[in-house]
Amino acid sequence: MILEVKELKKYYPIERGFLKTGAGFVRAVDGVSFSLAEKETLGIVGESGCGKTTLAKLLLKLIAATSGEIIFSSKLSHLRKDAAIVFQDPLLSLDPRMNLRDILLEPFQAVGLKTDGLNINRLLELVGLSNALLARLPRQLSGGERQRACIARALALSPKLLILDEPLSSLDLIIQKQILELLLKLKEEFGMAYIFISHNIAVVKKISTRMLVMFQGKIVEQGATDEIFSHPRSGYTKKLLEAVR
Amino acid sequence: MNSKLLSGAIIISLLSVIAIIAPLLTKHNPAAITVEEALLAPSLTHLLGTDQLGRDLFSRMIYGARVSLLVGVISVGIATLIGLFLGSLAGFFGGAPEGLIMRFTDIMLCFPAFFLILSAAAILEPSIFNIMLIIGLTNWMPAARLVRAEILSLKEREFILAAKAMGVSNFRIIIRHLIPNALEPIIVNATLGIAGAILLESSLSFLGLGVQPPSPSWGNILAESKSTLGVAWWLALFPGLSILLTVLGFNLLGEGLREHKE
Repeated sequence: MILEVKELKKYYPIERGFLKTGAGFVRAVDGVSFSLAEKETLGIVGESGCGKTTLAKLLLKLIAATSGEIIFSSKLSHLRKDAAIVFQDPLLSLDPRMNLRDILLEPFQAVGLKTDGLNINRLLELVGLSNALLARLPRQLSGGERQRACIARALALSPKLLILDEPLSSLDLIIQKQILELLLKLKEEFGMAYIFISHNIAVVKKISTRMLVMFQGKIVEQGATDEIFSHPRSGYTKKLLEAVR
Repeated sequence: MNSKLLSGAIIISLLSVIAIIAPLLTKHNPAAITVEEALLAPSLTHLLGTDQLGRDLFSRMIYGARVSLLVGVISVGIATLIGLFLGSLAGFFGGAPEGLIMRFTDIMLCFPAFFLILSAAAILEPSIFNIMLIIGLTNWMPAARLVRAEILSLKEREFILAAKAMGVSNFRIIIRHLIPNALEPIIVNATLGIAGAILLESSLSFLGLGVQPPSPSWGNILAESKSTLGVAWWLALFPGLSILLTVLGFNLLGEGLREHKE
């Protein structure tokens, strides 16, 4: 077990009026429990606004949980180094004023590691980018190149866990396929655990061995991917499956 | 490149070049007193005439340009640095530090600025350095507000979240990501601020609290022209026009930059 989540909750208060009195809560993540084994790929599926991205941010401690706990194994003792995230829109998740070289150097500098061109070239090779692009700014790269850059940056410190938050949604279909293949190849090479968040249940089926279905902040179903596809139990999962058929 | 930006840039670069190569442009020493040549009208030997002590106005004007531009740029530099520091602290950390910094900014804004500057200038010894310091220390508030607002909107962006997820330190996030991305509006604001600072320096010198004679500045040339206004119109007209042109130049430059960005 690399990660265990118990009864995790994140409530956002709704403030109203001059005195900011609480008018209730938005239950973004509402009592979520699951665990993640080493080298496993866990798919998280649900519609927009169901709390998937909030869950990702909670796992990386980018926001504080309202209650519940996340237990990291010793493999994730240095969270910032051992876990990384790739966001949905690569253009938004790259600093518009940094060129590709600085973007790839940053993870090393962040943890105070000396680095040289060799590391950068290795990263570029891993994700299939040419080093002719190193001086380019994010807006001068194509959508696929940007997402590859984000993946390269996430891989820089050889994480044990990679969270992929809708990594394909902002790309066109051909690029989606290439990135998905890249992710599968990298997984085979490095054997890290993936948490793959998506609203596209077909993609999740391709990549993950186990999956969670989230609806309105709660997990409505979890289990082996094949099992859920052949025998969905909850009504919401059935609806999701019907939508792709 | 729009027409405002272009004309502003031309005016400012022309003025800067004149200020820098001032000794090459005139054979008259700006401080040389020749009493028998007092109050001469503009002519070929004295392009813009002479003042009541017989000093060449053209030399005094171009040497004065050095003072005015220097005061404008340095004092706005000081104001912008203070604004960057306080604004980014307030914007990034929020909570109590933000409340403290922004309320202090509000308090500073409540003082009628010119009287604050006047009293500070009256207490401190009037020198070019003190003038720059005073103008800088009393004009950082708009910059601080602007920086805070920019940082507030930038810090919620995904690339900042990505940097946090990589464990980039707060200091590095501010220096490497937030400030570089907030720089454009800050530069526009600074350019517009320079025009204001030049006007302030002229006003202070006109009141005798700014740059002290014999160092020439456009403000104190204007102040000295008061007593001879009836007979020597050139002593008031040319410094006045220079101030107008410089302020116009910086305003055009700032407005042009703003429009160019949009």
